[in-house]
Amino acid sequence: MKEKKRNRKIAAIFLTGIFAFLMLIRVEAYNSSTAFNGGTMTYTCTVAGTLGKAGKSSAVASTGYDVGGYIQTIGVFGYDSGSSAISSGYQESVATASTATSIKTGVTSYKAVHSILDSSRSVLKTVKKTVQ
Amino acid sequence: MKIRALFNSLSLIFLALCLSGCTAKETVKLRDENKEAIFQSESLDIDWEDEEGNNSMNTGVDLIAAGKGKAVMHAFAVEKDHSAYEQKLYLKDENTDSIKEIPFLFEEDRCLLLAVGEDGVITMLLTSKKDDASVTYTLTQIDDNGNEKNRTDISRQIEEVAGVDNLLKMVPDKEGNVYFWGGSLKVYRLNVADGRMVESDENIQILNMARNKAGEMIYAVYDKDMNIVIRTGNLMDGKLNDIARLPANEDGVGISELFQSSVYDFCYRDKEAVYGYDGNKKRFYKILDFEQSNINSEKLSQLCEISAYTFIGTSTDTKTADRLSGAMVFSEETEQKDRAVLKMGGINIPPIIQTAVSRYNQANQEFRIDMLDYGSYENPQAKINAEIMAGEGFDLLCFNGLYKKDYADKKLLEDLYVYMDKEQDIAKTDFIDSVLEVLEQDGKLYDITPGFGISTAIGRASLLKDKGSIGFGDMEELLQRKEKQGKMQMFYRETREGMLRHFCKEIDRNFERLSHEDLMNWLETAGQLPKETEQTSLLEAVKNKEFLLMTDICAEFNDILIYERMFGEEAVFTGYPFQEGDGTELNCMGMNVGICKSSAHKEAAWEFIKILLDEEFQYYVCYPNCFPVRKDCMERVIRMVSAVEEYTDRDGNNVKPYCCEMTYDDVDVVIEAMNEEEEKRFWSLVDSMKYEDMWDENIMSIVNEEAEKYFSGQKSLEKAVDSMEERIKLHFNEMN
Repeated sequence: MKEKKRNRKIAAIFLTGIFAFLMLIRVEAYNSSTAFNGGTMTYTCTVAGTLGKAGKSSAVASTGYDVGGYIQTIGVFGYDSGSSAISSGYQESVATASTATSIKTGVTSYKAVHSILDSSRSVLKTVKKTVQ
Repeated sequence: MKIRALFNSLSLIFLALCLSGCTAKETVKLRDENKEAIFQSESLDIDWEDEEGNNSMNTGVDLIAAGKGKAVMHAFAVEKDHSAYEQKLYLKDENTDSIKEIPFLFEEDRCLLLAVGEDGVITMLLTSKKDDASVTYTLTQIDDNGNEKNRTDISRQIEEVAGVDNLLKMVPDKEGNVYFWGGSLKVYRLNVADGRMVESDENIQILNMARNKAGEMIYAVYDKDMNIVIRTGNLMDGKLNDIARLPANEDGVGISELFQSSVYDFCYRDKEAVYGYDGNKKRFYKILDFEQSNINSEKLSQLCEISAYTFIGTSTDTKTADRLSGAMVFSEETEQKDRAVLKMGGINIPPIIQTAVSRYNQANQEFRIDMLDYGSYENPQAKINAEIMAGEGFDLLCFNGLYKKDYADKKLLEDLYVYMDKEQDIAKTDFIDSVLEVLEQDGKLYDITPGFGISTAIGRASLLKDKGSIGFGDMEELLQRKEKQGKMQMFYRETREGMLRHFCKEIDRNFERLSHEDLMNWLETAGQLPKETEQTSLLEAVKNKEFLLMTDICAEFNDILIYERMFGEEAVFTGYPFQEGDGTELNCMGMNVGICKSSAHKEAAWEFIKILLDEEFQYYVCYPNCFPVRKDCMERVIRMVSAVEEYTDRDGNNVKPYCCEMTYDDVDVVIEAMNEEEEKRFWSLVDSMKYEDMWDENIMSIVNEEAEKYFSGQKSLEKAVDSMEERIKLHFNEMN
């Protein structure tokens, strides 16, 4: 399994006249790929904004898969500090799939659940990852 | 100095207001003030011609693209044993209802992405695998008859630039450059002039992209305040101009799709509706309301406009076992049905309930359900209660985030057993006994859920085997017994607030039986936990045996079967270590629904509940997102998960011997068919559920406030617990 983790601070500077503005959007993500049934599945979950009680954030989860004929489900859940789900996104697709939570305050971690099912609803592959 | 600092601060605030004013908050209006944005959906009849007349194939429409008054669809048929895979293309013209098949001449390739350019040319991203397992990517353009016009190998560019990113969408611009949007929230542009692929500025997170009405590329991005803004310009050097800021809906700001429109500057959709933006009026219009139109947006994966106010999309909500996904056309409803409205109140109503509502609204000719989601309010339960007090009652309540006991105690809910008893084909015995027992209150059933999870705590048998149900005292004793007690933690990734929430539930259930010392013991233990957890390696924690228990909500069989494979020994599901044990709880995952006593349409509301209790709904919609509550459905799932030989199920599905590859954070395991012993342990876990995983926010805030005073040193442990007890007693007295 090939995995690339990123934890970056992104700064953008707006210059208007004599004032300078500093913007910080923290992006946490995982991006991994794994073999499945002769194809390559790629999973991504990107969290933008600030995690924590006062921070605003949102998560986008997606999966790519280059062999058709299966159903992919993607769920992404935002949890508060007491482990209660306060935001979510869900999508089903037979092609690549992506879903985003709406922007919420107070999310301390996200969990993305990617699954591949066949037509009988049997789970062939499932990936659960936490982004904190 | 202070005045200058104040001046500088005010200047910065002024500037911030000016900057944010560039994209003033937009409001959404209905396009026609007198008419709801209701559309009707029609499934396009794309049947795979099976000359032999057998049903060994599963078919689906997986890709759709539209532009210049036409829509092109990519369809596939796959043998149920996945031994063969065929592809076709179809074209639908805006002026005709019929669809035309286009020959797909690339049998060695698979179509990954599809797009229609400003010139009407169809572009496909094809992929194929060579014998040496390397993958090639080809960009191919065809005309409406399927004839190839152009073909370019872009394998090198994709490998070098996009790497392992998911390519989710492709859009050609007016000049012929091709843009790819990836799951890492980046865009990659393939230049037509030199064949180079360039990546978007790394400081910009792109949530979607499209061409606008004028054919310019537009992007949905986060701004500095975490709003979603539509921008245009050069993405590669980050020089972008704002067009509009997306308005917030009831659940906050979100975007699922951005697409070109022939009427509006652009269209986008979230899970509630499709919106169009009029740049002249600087206003968003709600064009298509999914809920009102009976369209299940969770099952919709692509959407585009084929002509003015007509959309086309792919959906997995086909209700046909052999068809995995279909193409749907959405057009304005000409004659709107005059149906009575049932109001469902709730907070962040879960997708499964939304699916059930969509099914109800599709099937019912007399009633439709309007979901009123209070998720965006600061205190949503108070808002819902205020609506009830004001006489603006609901017909149905979804209890996600609502403390159900309050409504049941105040006799605001109907007893569902009364309705169940009237039905010929629904009986109490159809449902898992422990689920009903936990939900029952004084012999009455005020709510029911289509599925459930099991909130529990799990540990290694070698550490916990001699303990039946685990209490806090046992945990401390176990920790002391361990040689490496400095390293061994009570829990993996538990926080103070998480533990306090569990205390809160125990206080609500067993306050009379809890001693002052119990509460002191708990609060002291919670104080030793971190406020927030850091991302740590689960693999390392398991390998090094760093914890006694790990909490989880098991919602499908893999969630249960993984632990034994992960630990490399028997896993024990002890539940959370409450004082009295019994810490394994029923988790309705926010899907429990009840009928309000004040409803004028109780029978119509019961018809909705019946959808949740339907076996087909629980199997195809609920699983694997949760366990089904019906015994027959659970048995069907168990047969699938226990399969060691191939069989055909009652819907004609070919079920293979069970094998699932599972990744949980950084732990990878392969889960094979569940054996009899594991099935027995599963049922014993289900039977061990004694309480529902829910808590009273009033108690929670008392506990949190007093705990914080202790944690911050404002109060001693003794005094914090004294005040906590006093306030909780007062709360219970008030409630009584």
